[in-house]
Amino acid sequence: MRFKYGMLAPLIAVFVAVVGFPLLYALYLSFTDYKLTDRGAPDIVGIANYASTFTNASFWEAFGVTALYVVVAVGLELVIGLAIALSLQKQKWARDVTRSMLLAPMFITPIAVGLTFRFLLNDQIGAIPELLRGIGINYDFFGPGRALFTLAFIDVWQWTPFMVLLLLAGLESIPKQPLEAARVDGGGPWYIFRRITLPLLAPVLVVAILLRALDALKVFEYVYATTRGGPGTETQTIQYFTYQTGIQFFRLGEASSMAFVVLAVVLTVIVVAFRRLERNRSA
Amino acid sequence: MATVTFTNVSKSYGQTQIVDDLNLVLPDGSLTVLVGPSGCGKSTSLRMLAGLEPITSGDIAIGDRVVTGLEPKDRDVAMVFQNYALYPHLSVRENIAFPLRATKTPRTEALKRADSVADSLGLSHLLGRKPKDLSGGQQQRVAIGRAIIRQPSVFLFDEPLSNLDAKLRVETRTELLQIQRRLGITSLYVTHDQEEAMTLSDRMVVMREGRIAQQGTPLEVYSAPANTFVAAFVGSPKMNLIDGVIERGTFVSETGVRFELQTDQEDGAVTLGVRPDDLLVEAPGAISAPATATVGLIELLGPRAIVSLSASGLTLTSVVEASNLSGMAESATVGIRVRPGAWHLFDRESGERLNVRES
Repeated sequence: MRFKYGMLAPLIAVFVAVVGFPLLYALYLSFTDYKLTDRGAPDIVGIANYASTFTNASFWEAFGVTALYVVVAVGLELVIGLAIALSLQKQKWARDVTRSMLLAPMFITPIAVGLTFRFLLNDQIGAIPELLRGIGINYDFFGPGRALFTLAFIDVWQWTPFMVLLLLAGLESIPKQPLEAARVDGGGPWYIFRRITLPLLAPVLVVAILLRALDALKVFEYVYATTRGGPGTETQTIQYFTYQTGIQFFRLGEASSMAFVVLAVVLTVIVVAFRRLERNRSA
Repeated sequence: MATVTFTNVSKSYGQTQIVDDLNLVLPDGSLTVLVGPSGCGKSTSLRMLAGLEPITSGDIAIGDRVVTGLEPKDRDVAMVFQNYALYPHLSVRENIAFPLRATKTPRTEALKRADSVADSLGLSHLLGRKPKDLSGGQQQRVAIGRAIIRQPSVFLFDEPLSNLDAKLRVETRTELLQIQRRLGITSLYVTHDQEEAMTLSDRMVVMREGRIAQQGTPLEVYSAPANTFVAAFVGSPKMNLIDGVIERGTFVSETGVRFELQTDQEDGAVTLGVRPDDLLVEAPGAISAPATATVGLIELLGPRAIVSLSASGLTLTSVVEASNLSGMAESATVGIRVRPGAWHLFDRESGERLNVRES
């Protein structure tokens, strides 16, 4: 064997063991009727699992819930993150301290964040509803029509710093001269932001949105720690739904097929987005 | 159209003084060139006029309007940057139209005027392209187009030619000069290239360490440099500067080389300045001068040659007509003398000019 392949071998071995095998095994399971409680070998059922996934209204409802969650969370993170990044860029003193402090939420494990907010926002014992009642506002954060937005808010709390980090790096890599030229050319701050800063930041924005959207799509911990999908199925996200099907109801074969459907959809989105990005770059 | 006035303008970053009490008037419609080595404060002065750099103290006025503290957009200036500073995501047409669009000119009118400006600069065939698809020269023309579309009160040029190759630089220089003359807009031009400064300027301002070392017409500065710094900075090849003393009208260098200047300068320590063109070389066999030198390198430039000479430990440079090079070879001994009247005396201590010379 050639030396270069020898050098690659350990990585490939690890990759096959921890990614390749589980992936292929899940693919295999998705074509079987395997249940966690089964003793014997599972039976191959062909595309039956996929057929039932595609026709499962709850699955698509969970898909919709997740999509709404991603749009709200990432949208807010983008707007707030950009505003913070823009002001951090102007900051003159204590830059490093502020920046590292702002990143703090990112370093907490999501399940802990979920639990923390579960108590902070709890209608009976939570500190925040209590404070709100103090100023005459009665708001149940996990009530119907609100729970999903509360979850999105938790995501915003934890992940806006990530957006800030990416956008700040993007802003600081924009060449200074076009911005100076625009000031001399008579542009006001808002005009320059719209016509120069945003377009020059676009590649970073796309990557930031994509990274955050993919991550938000995986939301599980917040749901598990707070609402468990409720009230009703309002906050039943796709990951939580898959988890329930596979782990709680033991239908691992069906859950695997759901995972692959999600994978296919996400991959399509990524490929389309990157194609776009490449085309814009070469245009 | 406006006269630009710098009054006691200073700029410092902490303890570092970048520009020190600058007083400067740019006459209406003139082209003034700020020239000096890097770090002399010339670019900072220009950026202060543009409003891109706040002023520590003093005032800048454009016409009757004091613009100190105004935003760049409120100063009615246009600027051409060293690295062009085009908007990378906009087409050539949109780049040129930008100053009009930014000041709320309707889109169709802005684009129409951009087209006619592009036409006058020979850019019509490139209108749809993005800056990265243009050569350096084309990018600079777009930058010029963007500057002239708005008819500002003042043009600012920050080393606009330094990223171009030598040939293009000379062409663009001529073109810039023609545009400036045609529009008659007061202009401030910053460069580190003294040749560019000499050829372009109505007024030339030589800066050193944040202060004006000398200002005047290029001819004034060239023919009567105010001090040894300007003498060495302006002119190519560089002026020979020789430390020595005056003894009864004759200059004697520290190493004993004698030049008969027939000056009435009183005896004492001086620095003698002689332009290479004014250091005359006598071919071997025809030496009548009291001073001799050994020929080092001869660099032929075509009609003329730069000859390096060494005379008793001094290294001198002379420019010799190619037709007079006969008999001159490396390590030949030649006579050297100074062209009568064509010399400059500077105080050895202060470097300030001693002799007044009418040009």
